[in-house]
This record gives sequence, structure tokens and C-alpha cells, in this order.
Amino acid sequence: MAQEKYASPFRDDIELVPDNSILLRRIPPKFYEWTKSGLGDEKLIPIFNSGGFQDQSATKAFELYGLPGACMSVLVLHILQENGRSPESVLADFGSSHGFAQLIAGELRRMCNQGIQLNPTPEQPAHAVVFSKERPKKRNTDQVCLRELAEQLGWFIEPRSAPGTG
Amino acid sequence: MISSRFLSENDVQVAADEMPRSDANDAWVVSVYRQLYDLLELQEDWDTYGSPSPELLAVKNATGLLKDLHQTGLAFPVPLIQGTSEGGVTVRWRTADREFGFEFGAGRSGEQTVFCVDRSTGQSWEGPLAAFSDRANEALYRLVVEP
Repeated sequence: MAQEKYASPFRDDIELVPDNSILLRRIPPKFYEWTKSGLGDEKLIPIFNSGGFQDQSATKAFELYGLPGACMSVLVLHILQENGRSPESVLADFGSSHGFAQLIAGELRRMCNQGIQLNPTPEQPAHAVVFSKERPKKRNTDQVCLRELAEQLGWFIEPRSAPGTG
Repeated sequence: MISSRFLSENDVQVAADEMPRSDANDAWVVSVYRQLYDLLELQEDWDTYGSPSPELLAVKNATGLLKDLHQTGLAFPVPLIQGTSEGGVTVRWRTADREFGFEFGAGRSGEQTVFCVDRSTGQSWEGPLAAFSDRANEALYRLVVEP
């Protein structure tokens, strides 16, 4: 018997978050590693790890946002800017050890089979969530896909604290 | 289900005792032990996205795998050991062209999965460890011969 195709409880807001939208994913220090740049100097650069692109659990997503399943929080850059806020001001609330990875909406839709639902809150009108179109939550292979896309684009805002640098 | 809020020093010692203490000078063991210990110290919201502390059972399952790998005597690279947003643990390795790892789920079922993304072959797979053990063994072998 053929398996029923998974139907996500989320909606993909293609018009509100068009394919050319830049999405910002905040990366805490647990999800990057300072690594030598390999350019012959001692400079350390932050390298993403794939765990930074995992979903919040369905329980937490419902508790925080009333959302119907597991998903990953991002900010939509153009909406953030339209509301008069800068990415730097958002990160300032978390400290210099956090950075912003960037993703292009169309790339994560096409290459990682994810959708994007805008989920504005009173505190953050640019908030959106990235969800899997194929299953109830992202798998590790989806996280790797997103990490690779983020690496190709590079940090939008790089964390500023490296070990021993204060 | 064991709540990680009630982890005691004894629970940490249990995890530590799973590693071969006689290899204290083994850099691999030291790094792995430190990462496992750090997992047990994580508090709720450790990732700033509201994730729970990793569950002790998931940490112990991950420790069991790592102990088995160490006992092979093969030179595995040091993995990255992290918590998940659901209280589980991942053990993963990344090379220039692939990422491979295991996830030890939280909860009574504690599902164990294995995954691999290999850009050199274009292959990407993920599934229950029991069903993917052959592929997992091959991927582990490649970690040793193609670090």
C-alpha cells in the first residue's frame, strides 16, 4: 500500500517571503567552532556546525509561538529593515559571541526542500520559521543542507569573540 | 524517563566510568570525555532556543558507541558531540566532502539513527541504525582511512 504523502501543517509564504529574501539565523557559540584559517597565520575563524540549523521541538514551538510543529526560527531581513531595526541591534541583545548566518529563501526551498512561514510576534515582526516539507521535523541531513548553504554565503554578522581575545 | 534536572555527580561519574580510564593520556579519550561531561552540565535553554538538557540515557547511549569505537583500536577522528533540541545527543564527524554521524534520541524509545551526506558521491541517507548498520560501518571505516 502506498504511503500517504506528508502534508505539512505549515504554509509556505512564497509571496510574503519571496525567493530572493535573505533569512538570518542566529548562531550561538555552541554551534560554531573557532578554527585556524589555514592561510598561514594564527587567525581563528568561526566555522558553522550543522547543529545550528536544527528545529525547535514541536512542543517548544507550540509553547513559544502556538505553531503546529517543529521548525527553525529565522528573521526575514527585509521585514526587519522595514520595521526600522538592524541585525546588529538584534544581536546586541545576545552578546558578541552570537552571529548571524544567512540563507536565501529560494535556495533552501529548492535545495533543502524546506518552506518558510512568516510568524511575526509583537516583539519581532520579522520572525519566521523554516519547516520541512517532507516530514514533521528536519533530519540531520536537512541540517547539513542548510549549513552548506550558509557556508557558501558566509556569515552575515560574524561573532566577535574568540577564545583568549576577550 | 530520566529527568536531566536531577543529574547528580554520581550520574556524571557513571558516564565517565564508561570510558577506558587507563587511557587517560589518549587525546581522543580526553576530548570525548570532556565533551560528554559538558553535555551533562548543560542546563535548560543551553542553546538559547529553549532546548532541554540532554537526557542521561541519550548521553549513556552515545558513550556506549564511543567506547565501542575506542576499543576497536582504530584511529577515529575526534567527533563533535552535541545536544539536540529534544534532549538527545548527536555524535558527528565532518571532513572536507562529507558529514556523518549518529543521533541518540531522548525519551523511553530513544531512537538511534545514523546519517551521512557525502558530496564526493552525491549520496545522502539517514535512518534507523538497525536498518543502516552496513552503511554505518562503511562510513566509520572511511573515517579511519580517509580522515
